[in-house]
Amino acid sequence: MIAYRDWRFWLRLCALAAILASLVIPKLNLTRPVYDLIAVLDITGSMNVTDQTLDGAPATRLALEKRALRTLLAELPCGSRLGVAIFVETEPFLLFEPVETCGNFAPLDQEIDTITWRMGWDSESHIADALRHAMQRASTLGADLIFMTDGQETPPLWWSGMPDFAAVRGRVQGLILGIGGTTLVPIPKFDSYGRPTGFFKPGDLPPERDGLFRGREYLSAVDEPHLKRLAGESGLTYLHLDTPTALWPAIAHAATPRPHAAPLDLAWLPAGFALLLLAATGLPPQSHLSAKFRSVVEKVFFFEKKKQKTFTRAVADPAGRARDMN
Amino acid sequence: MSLAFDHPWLFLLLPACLPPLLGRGWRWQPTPSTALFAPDPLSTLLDGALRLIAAIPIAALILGLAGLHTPRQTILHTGQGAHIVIVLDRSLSMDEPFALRGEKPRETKTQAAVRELAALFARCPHDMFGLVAFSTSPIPVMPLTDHREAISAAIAAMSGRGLANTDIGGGLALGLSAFANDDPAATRILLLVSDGAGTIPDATRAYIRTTATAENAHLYYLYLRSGDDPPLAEDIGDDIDLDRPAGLNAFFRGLNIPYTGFEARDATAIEAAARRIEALPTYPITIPETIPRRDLASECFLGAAVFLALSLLAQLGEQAIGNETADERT
Repeated sequence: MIAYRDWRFWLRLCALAAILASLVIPKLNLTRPVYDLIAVLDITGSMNVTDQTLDGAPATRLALEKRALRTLLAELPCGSRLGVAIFVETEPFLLFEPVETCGNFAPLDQEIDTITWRMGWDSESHIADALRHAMQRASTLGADLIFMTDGQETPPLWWSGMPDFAAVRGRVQGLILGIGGTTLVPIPKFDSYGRPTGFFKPGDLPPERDGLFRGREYLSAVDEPHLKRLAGESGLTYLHLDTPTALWPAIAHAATPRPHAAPLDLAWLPAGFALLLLAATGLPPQSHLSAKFRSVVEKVFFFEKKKQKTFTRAVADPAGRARDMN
Repeated sequence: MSLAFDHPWLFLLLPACLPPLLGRGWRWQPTPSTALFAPDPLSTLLDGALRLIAAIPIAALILGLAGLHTPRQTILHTGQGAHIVIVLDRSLSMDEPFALRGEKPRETKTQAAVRELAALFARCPHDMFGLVAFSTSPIPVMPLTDHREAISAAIAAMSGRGLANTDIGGGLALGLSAFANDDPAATRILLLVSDGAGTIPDATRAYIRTTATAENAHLYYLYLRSGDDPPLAEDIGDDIDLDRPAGLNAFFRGLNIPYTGFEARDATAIEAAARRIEALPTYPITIPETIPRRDLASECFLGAAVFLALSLLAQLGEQAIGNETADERT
């Protein structure tokens, strides 16, 4: 039994204690921000206008919406929840309630990809009403809102204008995303099998039926003044979206983060310390570093400390010994 | 089962294992050279084992610190389960109250349907589900998937307000198309949940007939019959084009696939449908299953502790040869 006399034995014993500590050390209860969101996509006819660019090629407004949403799905921190709705007419149709994004990434991504304008059940597009309904639904589900549209009310609003947002204002945070170019372009037409049949012409829409027509409703551009007014009324933040990647940074500003448990594992600290101690036992015995470790260990466990020290100093430093004796 | 590391650069520390493996030990013993001894296999073995036992804790600590884990991965395993695609009517009429004759309505047909579907979903934990809604046009709501949270969120989302008209044919056609890319060995079930009929155009009828036969699907029609609605077994003669549930029932019977119609007048119908689905024979199919990441650091640390303890015990058994005050090399 001579092992205990070696300082390195004690070093290894300390390492064992440190490893055992790493096995039982509790995790630190930290949190990080995640988001609960409902994204509402405008799938009405004017979203088929090809005035956007994706990957250097022309793309429809709907394609930009979908790409932006899929990019967001991939960017959202795990623990976030996303629900998706589509709207035509006045009613957002919820496809799925907010659900955790990382664990369900594949089916969610696939589902967003399948969204087309052909799912629509009506050709009208009452954006202000749809926004109000979407805010009600989001508020019931405790989520914030991403409302993507080009802002083209079909038919146009009456003079009476907007619905009253008082009941929902402030209960939901989020974004209104304006999608579409700023120059007026024709809206494509399709037959009942979904085949393109040219573009709407001036005579194609009823001249004066429901709302305040201005005679150029067959053309479409993003209606930013209208969307900014909607943002003001609803308390949401307006943003013009022209690249899919701009959505996630905007969310981080406009939506309410929810703290999500992100326990921090501290086991590496004692384990790393143990590794340091074990590595020290393998140092060349004559090295300076080895001597450092030795002196620390001997100070802590003080075995034969005094005797050895005096002895070493007597040999190495006769002057010091003389000093001690005086 | 593959392994991965979060911080592989920590492998740069692995040479720390070398001193116990190759070193000459800590102490010089005052002994004449051992070179004259005959080779002793047992001693050599013991020497190697002790060196290994001393090196393992260092290596294990480095592996653990480098973040050894099995990554999140999708493995294929063989299992039994059906592929169920729910085709749900979301027309305006589904917002009408659902009640038996003379009973006070407590919920809408939609709410009843969502409740029943959630119950069915809960009863079938091994099956894959997909969801299609239809009103004026069919809407794919969730692709055929084994992600139960996603399906659950989609079923729950269906409780909102109804939309417009009823395109039952489009819904069935889209529902059938969900089977186009799944495992052909799976038992395929199309579950139509609707409160009535609506006519199906001839072209759609033909498509449904050929696809349903080709995909070998089982069709179940859960008819939400409320109040004075006509029964599924109504006598309509030969008029299968009739815009009544019985007409649809006759059309489905005429398809060359296994079909059953259920009248949901109370919760027992979904119970019956669920039992039928459970009773269907399922065949071994390949099921992709996603296994979450599993950290193995604590296993590494535990191993390090065990071997270090062994090594320390061995060290305690060490005896000085000859003089007790053996010279230490330091």
